[in-house]
Formats: sequence, C-alpha cells, structure tokens
Amino acid sequence: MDASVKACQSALADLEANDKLIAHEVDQLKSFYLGKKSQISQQYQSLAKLPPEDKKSQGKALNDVRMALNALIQEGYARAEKIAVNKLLGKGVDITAASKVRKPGSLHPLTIAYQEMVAILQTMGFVIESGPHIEDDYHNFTALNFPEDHPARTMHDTFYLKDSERLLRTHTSTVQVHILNRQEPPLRIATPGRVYRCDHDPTHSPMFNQLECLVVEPGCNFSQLKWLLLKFCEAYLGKPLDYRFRPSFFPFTEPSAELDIVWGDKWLELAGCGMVHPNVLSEAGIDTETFQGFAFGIGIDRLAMMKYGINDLRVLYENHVEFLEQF
Amino acid sequence: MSLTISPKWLQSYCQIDATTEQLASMLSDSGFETEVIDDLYIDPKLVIGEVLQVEKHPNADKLNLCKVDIGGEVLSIVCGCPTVPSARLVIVAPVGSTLPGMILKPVKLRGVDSEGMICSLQEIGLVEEGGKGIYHVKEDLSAGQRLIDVLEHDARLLDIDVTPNRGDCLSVYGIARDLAASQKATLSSYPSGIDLGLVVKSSELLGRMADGVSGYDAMTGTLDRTASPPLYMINRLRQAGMGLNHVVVDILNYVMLEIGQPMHAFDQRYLDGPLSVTQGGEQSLKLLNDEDYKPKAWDLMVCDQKGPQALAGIMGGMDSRMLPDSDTIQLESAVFFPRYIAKSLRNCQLNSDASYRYERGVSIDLNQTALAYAAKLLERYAGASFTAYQSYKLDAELVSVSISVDKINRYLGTTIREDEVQDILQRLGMDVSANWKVSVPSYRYDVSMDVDIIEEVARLYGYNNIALEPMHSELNPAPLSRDTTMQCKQAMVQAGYQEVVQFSFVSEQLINIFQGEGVPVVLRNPIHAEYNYMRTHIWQSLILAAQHNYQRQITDMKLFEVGETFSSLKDEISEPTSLGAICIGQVNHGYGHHDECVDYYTMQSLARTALSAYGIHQFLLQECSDGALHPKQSANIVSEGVVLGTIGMLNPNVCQVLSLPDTGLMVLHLDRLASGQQNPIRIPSKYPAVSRDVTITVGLDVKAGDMQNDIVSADIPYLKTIVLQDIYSQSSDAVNITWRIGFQSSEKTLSDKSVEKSMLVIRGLLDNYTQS
Repeated sequence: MDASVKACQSALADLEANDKLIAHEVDQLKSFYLGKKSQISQQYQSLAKLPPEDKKSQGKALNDVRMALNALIQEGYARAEKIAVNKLLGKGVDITAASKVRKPGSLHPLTIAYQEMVAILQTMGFVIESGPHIEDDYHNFTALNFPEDHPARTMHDTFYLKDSERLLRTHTSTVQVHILNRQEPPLRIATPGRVYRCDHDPTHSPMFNQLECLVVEPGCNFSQLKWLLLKFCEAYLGKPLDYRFRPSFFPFTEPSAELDIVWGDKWLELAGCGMVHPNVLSEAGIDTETFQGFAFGIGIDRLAMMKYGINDLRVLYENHVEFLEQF
Repeated sequence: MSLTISPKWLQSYCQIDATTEQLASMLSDSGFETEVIDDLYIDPKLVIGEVLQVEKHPNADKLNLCKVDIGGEVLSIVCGCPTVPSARLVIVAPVGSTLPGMILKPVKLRGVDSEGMICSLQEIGLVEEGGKGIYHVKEDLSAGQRLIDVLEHDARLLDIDVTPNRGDCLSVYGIARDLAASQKATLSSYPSGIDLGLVVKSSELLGRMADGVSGYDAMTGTLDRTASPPLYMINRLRQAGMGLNHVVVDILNYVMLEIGQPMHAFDQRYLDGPLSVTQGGEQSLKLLNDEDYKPKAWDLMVCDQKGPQALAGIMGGMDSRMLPDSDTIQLESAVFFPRYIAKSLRNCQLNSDASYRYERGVSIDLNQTALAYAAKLLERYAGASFTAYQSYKLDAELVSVSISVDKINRYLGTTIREDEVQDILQRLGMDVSANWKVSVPSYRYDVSMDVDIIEEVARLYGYNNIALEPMHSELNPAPLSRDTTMQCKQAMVQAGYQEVVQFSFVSEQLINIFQGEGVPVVLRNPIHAEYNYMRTHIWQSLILAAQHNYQRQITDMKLFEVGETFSSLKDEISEPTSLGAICIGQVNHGYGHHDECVDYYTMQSLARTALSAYGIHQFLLQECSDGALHPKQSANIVSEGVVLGTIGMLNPNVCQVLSLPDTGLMVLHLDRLASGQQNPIRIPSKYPAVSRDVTITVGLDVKAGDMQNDIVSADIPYLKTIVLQDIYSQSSDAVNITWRIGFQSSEKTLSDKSVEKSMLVIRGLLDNYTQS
C-alpha cells in the first residue's frame, strides 16, 4: 500500500480516536492528500516528464492511489456525519422540567361583553352610535323630558364640572338626543358607552357602562318592546329566562317598565324600558302621530357580572392582573 | 324614596287578605318595587305592668324594690331609675324574656332577687337614643297587656320603593288606595278628625298668600306639656325611620306618614300677628338646622309681622320651633305648588320628609282632612284644645285628558275592551265621560297626557298580561365596516397585553406629571376629593392600574386601555380617544431564554405592532420633550408631520415619585390614525432574493433611523428590505453599524452587476455619515 494512503488512513483513525472526526477535519485531510498542493498532484505533474512507456505504468499506479485516497475521504465524511447524528441523538433534555410560559394578553370582560352585545344587536338591525361623555343639561335632562327642577333629576346622582354648567352624562340616552336631531326616522340605534353617577358601593360604581337601544318606527308598540328586550337578554345570557315586567318611572318613557329576571333564587333587576315619551319625540321634531318609539337600557357591567358570576362590581374596575388574565 | 310600613297598617285601609310576601309581589307588579324586611324583634313576653308599691332597697340607696302587677301575677323587681316612684304603668321584661342583645336571667341585686326589669324605650329598641330612663306609659292600658299587641307590631315589614312621579303614594293611605285599585279591594275612608266647623272662626291667623300657595289652613290651640305619643305611634315612626322629637312634631309626622300631608307646628308664644306667605324677601331666617338662610327671590317664606318664620314646605325656623315648655301652638296645614318647592330645593338642598312630598305634589284636597285628624290625635295624646281656625284655599281646576281605547291598544299592542278600560280607570278614581274624557283626581300630579292614561291602563291590566309580539322588519344590512379599534385591541392582546378599564377620574398629581393638551376638566362634586380631575392623558389611568398591581406584588405587567381623555380648549370640550400601554418588569420573549426586561425598544416594537393594525408601517421617530419620559429614551411617532403617538421609558425621577420600577409607556392618538385602509396586496416574486451586508463606522451622534430613512426614500432599484443587523461599539467615539440589505425583482433573476449598482448608491448614501 502506498505510504500516503496509509498515512491518510491512520490520520482518520486518529481523528476518530480523539473524538475529532467532523466534516471540517475531513475537509483538511482532503485538501492535504488530494488538493492542488498535495503530493499526489505534484506526482501527476511530474508524470509529464517521464518517457511514454513509464508514463502508462506510473499513471496507473497514481490513479490507484488517488482512488484509494478518495474512497478513504468519502468514508471519512460518511463516518463524520454518522458520528454527528449519533451525538445529536445522544443529547437528552429533562422532559419534565417546566418551561417558561409566554403569557397571553386578554381583552377586558367589559369589552368581551360589549362585542357580544353589539353582535346580537347588529343582527336585530341596530346601528351602533356614540357621543360625548361631557354634556350639557339640555342633552342629559331637558330634551329627555326631565323638566327643570323636577325631582326626577335627583334620581341621577350627577357629576357636575367645576365653574361650568356642564356635567358628565348620567346615561347614554344623550346620544339618542344627538341622533334624533340629525337623522330622520325610522331608525334603530344602539348607544353603548361609559356613564357616570356619583355613587360608590358593591353594586354601584361612579363610572359604568350602559347600553341603550332606541327604535323609532311607525306603529311599534309595547308588546314588541317586551319581545325584543327579552330576546336580546336571552341571546346574551344564552338561555330562556324566567322574567317579569314591572311598572316603573323614567321621565323619557311612558309607559315605563323594568325587566326583572329570576337569577339564583331571587328577582334581579335587569333593564329599564318603555315607550318613548311623546315630549321627547316632539322635542326632536318627530311627528308623534306617525311615529312611535320604544327604548331600553341595560348595564353592560351588570349583564357581564351575571354571565361571569361576579358579585362585586368594583372588581371590574380594579384591573388586578390575576383577575384580568382569566378572560 | 322608600316607605317602610307594617302590612297590618296597610291592611287597615285596604281590605285584602294576603300574606306579607303576596302584598310585596302585588305592590311590585303594580309599580312599587317592594321588599319584605325583618323588623325589630319584640318578645311576646314583654308586658304592661302596673307599679303597686315602691320601697327603698335595704342595701343600696340608689335602688328601689318594686311590686309590679303584670296581670294576675305580681313580680318583685329591683329598679335603679329615680323616676320609678312616680310611675304607674310601665313596660316589664320578666325573667326569661329577650331584649335586643340580651336574655333576662334571674339575678340578685345587692342581695335581693329581681324577677324582671322595668324597661326604657331604648332597651326595647324602640328609640335609638334618648329615652334612657324607664318609660312611663300614659295611655289607657291595663296591666298584663302584651307590648307586641299594644305596638300593633308586625315581625316583618314592607319596604316600598315609590318612584318620583307618585307623590300621591308617599303615605300608608296613598299606597292602600293604589293597592285597592289594582287588586279590586275595598278601601276605607280617611281617618276621621275633629269637626273644624266647631272651632272658633278667626280672620286674624292668616295674611296675604303668594302665588305658590294653593291652600293654607291654620289653627291655634293649647297643649299639655308633659304628653308623649302613644306606643303604637312611636313604633310606626320608628319603622318608617323617623326619630322622636316633640310630641306635637311626632304626631304631625305620624299624620304625614299615614295620609301624606306635611304639617308644621309653630310655638305660638313666639309668633307676632298673622302668618302670610311671601316670595323672596330681604330678611334672613335662622332655620332648624341652625343655619342662617338668606331667602332667594323664588323661595316661598312663611312670615309673621317680625319677619320670616319658615322656609315654606321645606324647613321651619329655629326661633318658632316647638320646645319642651311650649304650651300654645299654631298648626300649619298647607299646600304649595310642587314647582315652587322644587325650585327652592334644587338650590338649597335642604331635603326633608316634608319637602320630599311637596316637590312631588300633595293633593290640594287633603290639608283640611289632615288638620282635623291631627287635631283629634293632639287632643287625645297631647291634651290639646283648639281656640281659633282660619282657612285659605285657591280655586283649582281639575285636569281632564282625552283618550281613545283604540290608541291604548295600538300603543300597547293589546286588545283590551272598552268596558275593561272603563273599569280600570274608575278603580283609579278617574271618571270617564261618554266621549272618553277622563277626569284626573287632584292627587295624581303625574297624569296629564293620554300616554299617562295608557300607562295606568297597562299597569292595572298587568304588564305581564300583555303578550310578547315578535317584531318584523325589512332586511337591510348596513355596509360592512372594519372595526379598526377592535383589530388594534386584538393586536395588543396578541402582543401579550391585558386590557384594563379604568375610571376616568384622576388626581391633580397625575394631571401635573402627564400633561395632555388643553385645560384639564375638574369635577365640582367628585367621589373622592383627591380624584377630582377627568384624565387628560391615558397614562394617568394606566399608572393607577400599574400602581394598584405593583402594590400587590405583581412585578411583571403589560396593560393597555383604549379610552377617551378630556380637556377644554377655548371653552370647547374635546374628548379624543387614545390607546395607552404600560409595561413593567420582564417582557417574556420566549421559552426558556434568558430574561429580558422592558426597554425603549420593547415599546417601539409594540408601537409597530399596534400601528400595523391601522396599516401604518412607515413612520419617523423624533425626539420628544415630554418631561414625564426619559429624555434620552423616548420618541414621538411622526407621520406626514402629524404626531401619531409617543413611546418611551418613564423618567427615573417620576418612577421614584410614583414608586414604580423601570416602566415603558406607549400612547397612540387613535383619532389621528386613518381608520383601517387596506394596503394594496402584493404578489410574492417568483425570482430569487439577494442580500448583501454592509458595515459602516460612524460617530456616536449618528442615528441609525436617519440612515435607514435616507436609503428607503432614495428610490433604489430592486431594494426590498433593509434590516439593522448590529450596532457595535468600536471605540469610545465610534460605532460600527451593520445593515443587511435585500434585493429582489418581480420580473427577473437579478445579476450581480445590477445588485452592485444599487449597492454603490447605498454605500454612497452611507458614506455621508462616516466621520470626516
């Protein structure tokens, strides 16, 4: 056997013995034994100077050596690859060690409730509208048939601005006033949004989210109001409800009613509603002989709390991370 | 306002056989939301006792030994009250009976057995304060009568919510009248009183009456100064939440509670000449709450010759009030028009049981009935006798309303018959004429239009008897619109942020730290004095949320809120909507990798994510001068000259003030972002992309963003991407910046030559930044 073949063979064996048999090392050997500056390349070059009869035999011998080296190198590569794969296969991890968790974000439950309610109302043909939070007396009270100085105004614990006659809206019915003044009936609008009343305890928050719906169409009536409101609540809460409608009082509706449902083992007030008071429609320039209206208002917070079984309204606005991450 | 009354009392006027629960549900169904509540427990063993004998205790000066007859049995009771020698009838709690907070056990007091206790009203729980000494029963009762019977006590009460439109139902009689109408039950007439016609007619009690007075009756009389109201009255006043006062005041309060007429008693010794009612006036009046009141131009004032003696219908004067030694009285039973009282009340805020009723409307026909009834009670329980009487009454027209049964049914979606409607209205005391003109009783201030009649018909017909009618409508879908705000919220959630909803109220401190545009809006009547501002910047709310969590050991948080902020600009209020985000602690970039804490680039990356929901991918980052932020780690996001938002780290000074660790912030002004334009869709190229790295050495003041913008805006052929690979600090005054630049054509495979041509331009642009 040629000396270089022997040397190459033992070099490969050494690499393997020293746990260094990787592709890169084989590259080096290949370059050393078969590259441009290798011994065999030089021997090929000197072949040209030999007489023709020697050329043939020497040439054949060199070819044999080169083939043998080539075979060794190829085998070296194959071996290196095999060793690399075996190394990877040998690498284990503790499959029981806990990984880090990438915490997902979350929407606030009120946003989820809002989205769900809006989706239901849109299928019922309502258009979503919004309006300003800071209002004047006219839009919050007068246009909604709260006469000046009327005790009904004290039903709403109103926040007033300092050095101004303006106030924080106590209901989103204010948006209806804006819309009625610029759109012609018939219309169906829903006005979700933040409202403010100065009251704070487990069931009252100084800021909460209300959703009011208004229908103004010729011939709409109280029976339809009952049906629509009930269907909406059943759609949101996802089940048939045990309910009662109870006479109540709101200045902007007549007749006025409240919807109670059985929740747990008692009656729970769910929504206020009624036929829009003709004074409200007339104030917006709507002919009350042609058009009737009905409206209902619900607390988004209240409904969301029922759905999620939350008893204390305040937790919705404390925004504790451990509360939020459940949604 | 809710009225808390015993079912027995209600049933004494409305003859109806029903349990307390049934009454509550009948009332709720007819518009008076009612709850059944437990009353004070009165042990049936408590009895009226007659004190037969009082001796000094042998071993204690301050104690007495009493023999008390409790009806067939005489108890020996040790009593410490000094008034016991003068007592005849008392309330006795025998051993074994229960009083609030205690059960009476047999005791020896200084060596003598006591078989019970003589009680004060406070010990029984009938009054909250005062009445500490034993109660001397002055009524005509006999030994052995059970207290529970004397009190006409019910273990459970009706707590009835009366809506502001139903001033006529702010009394037991009013509720009974409506209940009788809704339940088709028999209603008793008003309680009888003295015959006012028998009292000497006077023309010297009353003077001129202002416009706001529709009726004013006055009567004078004398009084037994030692009287006290009877036990049943004390009990009913207590149930209604009214404390005891002067016996006359108590009786007048009782009449108000029973039939709804507020009345006032003046100490006649103090009055000078006839009472008149004027509007406004110069002289101020010291009110019962001890405040000097300066009458407003619209206030109705009850005056004698000296000046104002009462703020009519709202509060009496201090000087003419009833005192323990008052022995002559002048009673007022008046009717004032609701809007006058309401106007005064809105301004003075002096809410009282009387003003509450007056502003909701007291029947113009009630004041004489009430006066006669009060007089009868005063005669019986306060030893009163009446000397003079005068009455003033304005003629009033009855309201009538036209209605048609057809309209009722159209409005309600019902088929109620004419005779049913007629029956309902008659039960409500409304007469119906042949042409359907309905006359409204004087006590129904809330009925003036046909819709009011419709509500009455619906109410008595029963809201729950009105069927559900499915609604039909044209299918007319609104054009689909993308809710970009919701998309943006979703992008925030995907970035690991939790949405919060905070109150809009913030403190002055936060207003000063995070400055919004315009003048802040301040509340006149905040819930908490400290939080009296409406937020001018969304960060103010987020800081509060972060502090709330951080104080509760939550050290990593990523929160966002979308909401309105408020400010006033030239007296116009503006309410722009913004998206705010706050990031504290670890950013959690992946599994098992080393921890990464929030820094400027966390917030920049978040802004890119959020803005991409609006289709915005290109913008400039410019230095920002917001003092709340770190001066060298904050930036405004600018596009086409408009500041779309701001990102940065909270200024370390502010962190300290707010007790927060390193905090990243972002705000986007959503009103300034064009809503959700879909960018044109690109078709991926079929030809291979080529990339080249280029490294350049520049001074420390060179901004990588400027270099990138130069290249992006230079319109270089086939340029596809430019990515900042690395910024490596080479020496103290220079850095190496490496860019990876990608090229691709949609039409051909790029040749080395064309790539090199583009690279040449790029290198030229970058060379402008090298140190000279």
